[in-house]
Amino acid sequence: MDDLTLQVPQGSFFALLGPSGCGKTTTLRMVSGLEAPTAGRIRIGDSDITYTKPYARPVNTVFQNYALFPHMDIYENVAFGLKRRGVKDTQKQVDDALELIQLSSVAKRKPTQLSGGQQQRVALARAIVNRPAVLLLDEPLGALDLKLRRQMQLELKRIQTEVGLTFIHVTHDQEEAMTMADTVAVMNNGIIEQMGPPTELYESPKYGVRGQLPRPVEPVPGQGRRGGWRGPHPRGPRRPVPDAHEPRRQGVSTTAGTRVLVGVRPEKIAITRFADAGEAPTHGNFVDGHVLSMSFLGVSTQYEVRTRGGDMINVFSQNLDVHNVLPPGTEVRLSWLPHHGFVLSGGEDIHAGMDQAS
Amino acid sequence: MSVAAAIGDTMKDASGQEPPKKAGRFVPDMLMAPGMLWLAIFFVVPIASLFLTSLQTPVPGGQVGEFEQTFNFANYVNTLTDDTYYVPLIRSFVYSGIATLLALAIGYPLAYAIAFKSGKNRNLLLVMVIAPFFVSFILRTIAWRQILADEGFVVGILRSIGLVSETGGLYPSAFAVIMGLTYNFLPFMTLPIYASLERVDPRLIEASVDLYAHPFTGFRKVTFPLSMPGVVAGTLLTFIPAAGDYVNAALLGRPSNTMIGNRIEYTFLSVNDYPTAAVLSFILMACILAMVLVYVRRVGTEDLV
Repeated sequence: MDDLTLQVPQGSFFALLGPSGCGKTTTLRMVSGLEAPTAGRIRIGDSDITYTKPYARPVNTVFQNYALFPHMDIYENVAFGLKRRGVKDTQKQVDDALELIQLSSVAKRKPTQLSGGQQQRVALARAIVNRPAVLLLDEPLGALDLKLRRQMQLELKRIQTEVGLTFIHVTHDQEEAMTMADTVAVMNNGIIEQMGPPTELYESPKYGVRGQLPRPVEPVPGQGRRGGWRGPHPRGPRRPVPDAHEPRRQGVSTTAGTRVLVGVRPEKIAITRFADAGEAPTHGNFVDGHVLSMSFLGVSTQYEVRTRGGDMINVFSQNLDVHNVLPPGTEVRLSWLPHHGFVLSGGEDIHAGMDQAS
Repeated sequence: MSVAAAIGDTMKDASGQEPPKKAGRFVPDMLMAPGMLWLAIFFVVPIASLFLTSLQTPVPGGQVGEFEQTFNFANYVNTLTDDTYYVPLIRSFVYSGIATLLALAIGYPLAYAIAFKSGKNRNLLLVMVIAPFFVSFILRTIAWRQILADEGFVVGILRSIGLVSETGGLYPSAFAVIMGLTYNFLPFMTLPIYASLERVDPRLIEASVDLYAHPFTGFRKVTFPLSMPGVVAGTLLTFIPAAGDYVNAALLGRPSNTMIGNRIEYTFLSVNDYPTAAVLSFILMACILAMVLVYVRRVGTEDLV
């Protein structure tokens, strides 16, 4: 863990996103008190809890493996925290919590008699019932299958909105973080690389400080030129880049001769038959190439395009007209609006870190 | 459809039966056979023979040790009402009960420390728990005579702080017998408890702390209940053999400390009153069985994972 400062607004859904081993779980364990920081402070509201014993903190955790008590039934599991704090009448609160997760019917069962998704919800109820100042979720959906995970993401978001607690959610799944969180912090090697609302993170991702490319993004290498950049065909026209003050420029210099990468999200690329494309636009971003493969996904079609410069670019094209799918081999032009591109420093290996980022 | 499946279907159609099950359906039986045979020859037959012995009566006018087969159930009544037998029987359960509690009090913290706090030394500590088995049971028990001898340091210290009078000692005594039992059966208590503690997921303990449980409460509500299978196994493995033990009472006790094991041995080998010895064996077995059943039912192990 490196120097790390995080401020989580009360009542928000905050996600810590990063590959395994980046320090996100350690951060969580420090907040819950299961691990002690060597330096620094942890505060909730006005109170400093850095040296508060974990059992005295107004913080609860939903553990990755749920950690339900196998010798207690669901009711007893959920009532555990209330009883430890000396709450006499737990019935009403436990019933409410079980209702919130829509599992009132299994109160008398043992955790092993429930499915993974049900256990996950019980773990959530067991934490929420205590109304903690902060609820920590440590990859709570990691053990569920894809379909259930999607369902639980929406469920979690609903519950958070309903109870209004502060959630800190740790995950390595970018989509999961974006689906649920108000604010996402991208963490790598113990530091926060970028923090902001999901849309901001998606629309103007930072080129990872450690050379990690945000995904999914299609990089087109080129050369900087005064006021713009030149694509893979050196003789082609100058293409514009986002204005220097826009966040997606990120201060990357495009002075003549510097190597740059212009990235663009695959769904923002328009794909047209080269034959229909006409004259090269004088003011726009484009590259030419041919379709290498095409996969029909239903809502969209995914094309793999090899540019004339030899780079591979993925394009998601909405299926507005199914008769217009482009078979492999078709010569195409890919174009996108200048303000959809972002400039990435081109000096680094564009594929570094791609695998972990998924 | 594959060829094999097609053939299978034809066969089923032709004979109206399922195709033969795959080979190996007798494997479980064959694996169990040696064990079952062993138990039949060396457990069931002797037990039956012992039961018949317990119903025998002396041959009228015969010599010592001569009995004939009858079905004299009065043997049981006579033995149970004779205080030279039922007193040692009760004493056995008291001694082994105390020894079991002591072994639990010593063995549980030991097992807990090995399971959770030992780090790299875990295997070394486990070997040390088992190490006494490398020395003969009898030798180890006799060694307790030295430990508790009047000239020994234990008695010396206890005398100097006044816990034992200047002329008093610890050996031979009921105390020495119970110490011997506790010591000898301690590994049987420690190892099962260790095994079940070792399987307790440390994340459950973290979860209890996270849910406002003071570490001690967490132990009481989570760790200890989850270790109950080990506690049950450990107490049974200590109590049952301790109740039938006669070595500790013979080597560390006075005649007034005799346990039922000693009575059985004496009745069988010295008095040659085989039916009474057999009756005592059966009563001991029945008592232990009854206690174990009540205990296991009370503690209710089937609920535990």
